[in-house]
Amino acid sequence: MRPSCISSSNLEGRPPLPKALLVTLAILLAVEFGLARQDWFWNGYGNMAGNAVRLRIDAINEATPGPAIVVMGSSRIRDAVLPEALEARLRLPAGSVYNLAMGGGTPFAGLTIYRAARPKLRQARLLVYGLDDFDVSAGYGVDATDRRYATLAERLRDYDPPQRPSLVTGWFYRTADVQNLLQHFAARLGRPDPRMSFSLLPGRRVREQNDPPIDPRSDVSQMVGEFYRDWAPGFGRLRQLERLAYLARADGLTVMVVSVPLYGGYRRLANERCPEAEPQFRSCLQRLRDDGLPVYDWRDDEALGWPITAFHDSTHVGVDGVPLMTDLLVDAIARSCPALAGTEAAE
Amino acid sequence: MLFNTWQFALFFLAVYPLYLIAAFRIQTIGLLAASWFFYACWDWRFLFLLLTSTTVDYYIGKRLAVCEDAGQRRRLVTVSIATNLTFLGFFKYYNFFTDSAVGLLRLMGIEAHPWLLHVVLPVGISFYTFQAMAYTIDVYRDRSKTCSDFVTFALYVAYFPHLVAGPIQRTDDLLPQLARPRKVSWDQIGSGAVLVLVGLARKALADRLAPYVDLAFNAPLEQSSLILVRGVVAFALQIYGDFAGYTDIARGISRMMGIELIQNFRWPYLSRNVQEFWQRWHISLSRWLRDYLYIPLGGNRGSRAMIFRNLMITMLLGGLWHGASWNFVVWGGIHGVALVVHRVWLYLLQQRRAGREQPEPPDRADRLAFVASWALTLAVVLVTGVFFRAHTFADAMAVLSGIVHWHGPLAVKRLGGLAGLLVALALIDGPQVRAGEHEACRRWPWVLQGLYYAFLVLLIVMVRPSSNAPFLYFQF
Repeated sequence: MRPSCISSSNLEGRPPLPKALLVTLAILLAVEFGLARQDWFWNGYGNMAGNAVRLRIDAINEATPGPAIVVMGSSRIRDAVLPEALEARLRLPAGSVYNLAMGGGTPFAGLTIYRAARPKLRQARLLVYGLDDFDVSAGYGVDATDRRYATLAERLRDYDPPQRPSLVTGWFYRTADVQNLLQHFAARLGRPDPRMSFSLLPGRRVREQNDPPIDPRSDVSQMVGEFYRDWAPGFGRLRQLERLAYLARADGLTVMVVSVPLYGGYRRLANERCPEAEPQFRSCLQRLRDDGLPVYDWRDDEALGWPITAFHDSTHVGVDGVPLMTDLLVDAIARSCPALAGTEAAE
Repeated sequence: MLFNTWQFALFFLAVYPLYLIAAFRIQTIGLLAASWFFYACWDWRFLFLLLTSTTVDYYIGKRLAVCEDAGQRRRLVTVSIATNLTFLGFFKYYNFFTDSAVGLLRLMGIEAHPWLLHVVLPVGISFYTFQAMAYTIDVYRDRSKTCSDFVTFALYVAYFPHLVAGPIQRTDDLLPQLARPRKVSWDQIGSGAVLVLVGLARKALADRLAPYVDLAFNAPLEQSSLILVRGVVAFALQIYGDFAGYTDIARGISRMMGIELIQNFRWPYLSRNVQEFWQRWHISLSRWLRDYLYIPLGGNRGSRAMIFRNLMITMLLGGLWHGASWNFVVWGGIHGVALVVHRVWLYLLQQRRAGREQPEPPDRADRLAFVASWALTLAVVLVTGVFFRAHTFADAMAVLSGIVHWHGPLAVKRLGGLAGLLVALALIDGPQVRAGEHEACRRWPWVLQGLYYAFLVLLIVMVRPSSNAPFLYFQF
């Protein structure tokens, strides 16, 4: 006998065949398997971080000679390190400093590159990672590299809690992972993005070619807004950096973490708008020091005595800043990886 | 627990199957428990406020049913209104009025140190107090029957799809639906799900517009005129997408449970005058203000001056209902003035046409007037929207002044993103506007329906931001 709290008559009629729903499902499956799970789609429309990693992996595998120093991180360290200058100062063979840093680069991008090109990169003696303020914020979000390369275990383990649901969803429903690519696809009416290129050959600097310098004072507010708008303490990127450091150190590399100088106005406004960010960044640096990594915090341009002309904009080192940055790096390498700096130190 | 989160999806997936199989009484009790749980997820302490309001209005309703003495009935309804308005006034307006009084005293040279509290606004209080008040007023006016069952009445106040941001239901619309056994048809489930899908798409688009709005309104003095214009237009689309999207989801969920909620929006930006705008925008609030404020004030009765006064009072209080800020009062005031101007215009037109026997067929000038009236109405709505969105009156004036005194580059390229989102919104609404009804897509051939639903899903996937923003009207 049916209990009286159950009623079978609440639902009227028989369910109709959901023909429209089947059409919807067919289209969604076509997008999922015809686009989102296809490499050509990522390569063709991913004029962004996910593709930049792939290009770097290809470039490493083709490059000669093998690396002595590998530089990873975001555009901040990418612009600050001129491989030729460092090679000259350290008397390293031309082409042996691999500047693999990239726009929006994160520790996970570095980890992905390192894992994919490990046989080559393990030949290096030193890995320099440029850690940025946004790397310790859970609010800065995930990028195309995370979405393209992170495994399910990493999505569950190596990201901050607010980022995990969307990443896990994306692992099962890949269409959710290709959100930005779909936007590109729609905006360009299906035409692929212009082909990206990346080369480890010396003599190529991205910044001056494409981007005229701007007064660092003029973009402070915009930059702080971009990096601190949704600021929240996060340790996901730090965990990824620790995993990268663990791999590299297991291969015998010295891993050095640096923070690139920033224009003073940017730092002051960031501290004003988000006072909890600076202690968080310092605690992360301390955690890395406690792990035994040499850490160099060079963010304070005034303490370093850098002029404003050393900056391309408020968060990037410009052409005039590169020699200053090379000095800082050479000095740090002499202290943290003396074997590599032997020649320079002898002079 | 926002409608567009996994938490809500899990909540609904847990509640809905039980709802479908439960017998009527269990269904009602279960729905009430679910509604209270839903509310407690925001802040369980405010559940007591909701319960107090519900209990007071329920018992006053019962007393009104048996009381025939006019004076006592008036006292009873006054207690109900006073209780609800006290809650609303304290939690929503205490700090506003205290701050305003301090400011006024300071202007008069008197330094006051009032007792300031950090009062937290209970979510949905503006909506459920209006809902509860509507009941006692309707019972007092003998327009609705008294609800004799506390569970049903409590569900009427707390019913979760409309609890936190409406639509505010008329007593006769909702209470009878809750009081009688409910049947759910497959068609209701289907059309409810479509409404939810449309609502989620609108909400995703609204969230995607937020950065344009924030950029313009957070630091208006730093932005070029083009960015400010973009922000103002984006806000109009954002608040529409957000609130209409919320309403769609609320109505869709409710329909899937066999309970119909009223339509709250009918493409308001197509209005050709401000009066029509208020018949298309936040319809449930407009109707509430008309029934329980404008008409009791005298409505359209009396002299023109009295009608204009009634309009102004209604719109000023309607503005203040939205939030404890002078900006909302200004917003309501401008809408009030616009409504008065429209009335004057109508009187003038009536006088002009009075002598003519037959209306003339529309000519080119009429068509131009048609477009001009639409553009003018839209301009009024956009300008008032600046006061609605800006943090302070000074910010609102900075936005308007920044647009009037045109400056900065005319980089039309920066409008590309907004244009794309506008096209997407038009693709959601366009077919329905054309058919003149919200769920026209349900009558399309099934292949076309399937394509439309796939488009909506992909649109949500494509434009959704990385984190779920709360619905804008939750703050009211």
